[in-house]
Amino acid sequence: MDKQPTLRQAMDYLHTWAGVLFSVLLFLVFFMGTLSVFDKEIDRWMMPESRLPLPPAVSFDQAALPQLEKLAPRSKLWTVQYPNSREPLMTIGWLGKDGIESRRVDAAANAVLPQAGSKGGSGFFYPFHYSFHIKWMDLGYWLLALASVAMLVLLVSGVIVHRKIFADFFTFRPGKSMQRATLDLHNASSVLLLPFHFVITLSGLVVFLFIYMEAGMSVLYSASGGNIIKESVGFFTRPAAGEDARLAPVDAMVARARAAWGGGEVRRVIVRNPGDRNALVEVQRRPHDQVVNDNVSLTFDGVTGEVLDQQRLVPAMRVQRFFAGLHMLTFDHWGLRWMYFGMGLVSSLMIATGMLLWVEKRRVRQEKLGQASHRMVNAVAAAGTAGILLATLAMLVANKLLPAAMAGRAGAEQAVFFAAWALALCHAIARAFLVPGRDGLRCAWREQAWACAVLALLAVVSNGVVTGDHLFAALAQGRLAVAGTDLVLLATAVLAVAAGRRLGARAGRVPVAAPALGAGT
Amino acid sequence: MGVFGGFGLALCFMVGTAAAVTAAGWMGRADATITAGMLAFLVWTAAALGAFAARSARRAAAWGSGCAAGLALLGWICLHG
Repeated sequence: MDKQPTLRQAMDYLHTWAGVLFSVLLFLVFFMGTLSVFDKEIDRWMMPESRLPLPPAVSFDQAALPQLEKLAPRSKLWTVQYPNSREPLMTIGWLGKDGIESRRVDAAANAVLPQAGSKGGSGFFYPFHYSFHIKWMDLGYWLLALASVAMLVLLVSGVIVHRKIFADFFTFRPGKSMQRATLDLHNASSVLLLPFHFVITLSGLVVFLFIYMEAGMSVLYSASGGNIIKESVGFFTRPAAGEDARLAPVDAMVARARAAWGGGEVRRVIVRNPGDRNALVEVQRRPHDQVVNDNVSLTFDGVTGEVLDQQRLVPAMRVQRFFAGLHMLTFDHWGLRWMYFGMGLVSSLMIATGMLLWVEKRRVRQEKLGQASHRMVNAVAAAGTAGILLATLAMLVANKLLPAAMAGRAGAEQAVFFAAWALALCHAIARAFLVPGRDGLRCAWREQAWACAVLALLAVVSNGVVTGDHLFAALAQGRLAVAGTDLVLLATAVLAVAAGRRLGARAGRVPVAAPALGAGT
Repeated sequence: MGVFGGFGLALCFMVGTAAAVTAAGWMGRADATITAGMLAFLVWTAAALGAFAARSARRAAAWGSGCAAGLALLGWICLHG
């Protein structure tokens, strides 16, 4: 009779196979999430026409209302996103035939800007982080849920399989064998940021609580009626009266809301049923000075300007919004923003080294037996990590080189991303199977690292040439979003060169078979 | 089984505990639903881990479906009883 595996063996099996199955998906989530930490700054880099100074004062009645009355006079819903320190543009939106449509407004000049030929960081990288751009039946959200639960399972099983969790905190031996160095890097990056990995994953699930647990909520609320959002947020609404009436000055309502909050910035103004006697104006506060992502919105009668309601969250909803704020960094704190960026990169590194470890642990045995699954996993790992970075950089270069007046430019940028990613996969598979021996495994990584270095440099140079905002000009003009993006791209190029050189140096050495290592050793 | 069964167990946990806590008058319905919903993600993770830690798949399935049925019954009684 077979001996039952111990808990540690069972968790080792789970950690290994859940890791290899979900690692590319998890890398995508973490890498795109890391980019999304600076999505607005990437927007400034990718949309040169939006590199405007923050307007000193913003008027709804002068900047937004005339545009909305002209563009969407019959709409049931208007939204106006106010400018802030990270986003100097005002965004006006309305409910059209095909959903919410929007335009960007220069609030200082009270002028609508032309449609951007790019989705930028907030339109491409950020939605990629939580939906993979798969909208069909919310499949993207559910893939994210699967990946998140897999991440939590990997974290717990990883802790259980560790024999020396404290020692791993301080262990990194880059000069040792490839397998040992990879294991050290995987362990150190996992253990060092274990609380971050756990909190960011769990809070990501909590953000989408109302999607993932919708079935349970329906059961709970179907028995006696009601609506959980109305109950938990205190959402005020009323139907349109069907009689025309003029909207009262919204700037006065904004001033009253500010006075009620005791200061603070406006995040968004929503007008429901504009032009109707029952019009409602909701003024939301930007939670720039608190972790809880609470808008503390005030709702006014759109015609009389009287306060009708103030949003009050029930305690559990405040906890949910706390997790949402913690995850989405809705507050202003540059130090923490950079920390999130750094920790996101370390998380991505942990996932990538986990995949490499799987390959290294099987390489010697599989090559002796003539098996090749480790080569396929290596190719997928290269394309799923270095290939994603390469595709991102290719998209940034395309953003600068595609003609400004090109029709469907934003779509073309996206197509460049996916084409570059597909090419990276083909390249990695070809290298894994056509180059014999151990170098075949490193070849794709090395070449893609060099390609990343070239593309990162090209992105910086092309931004300087095409927009005139080269690094020194951007720094001199105080355009820190542009300068910061350029500096991160230059750092990427340096790191990619270092990785390419190191992989090249290792390829030149006489290969020595490393002893097999357990995951927890 | 761990992932999909775990999700079913998490939903039953949410319905059962939220309905029971509301019926007992310890929390309002919205508070109980959101709290149970957030905790359900931990139940989902624990169920996936439990499925692999169990002595056999049959044993894991039996425990998981037993717990889910119990919680669903608790929820039904509290909502309709």
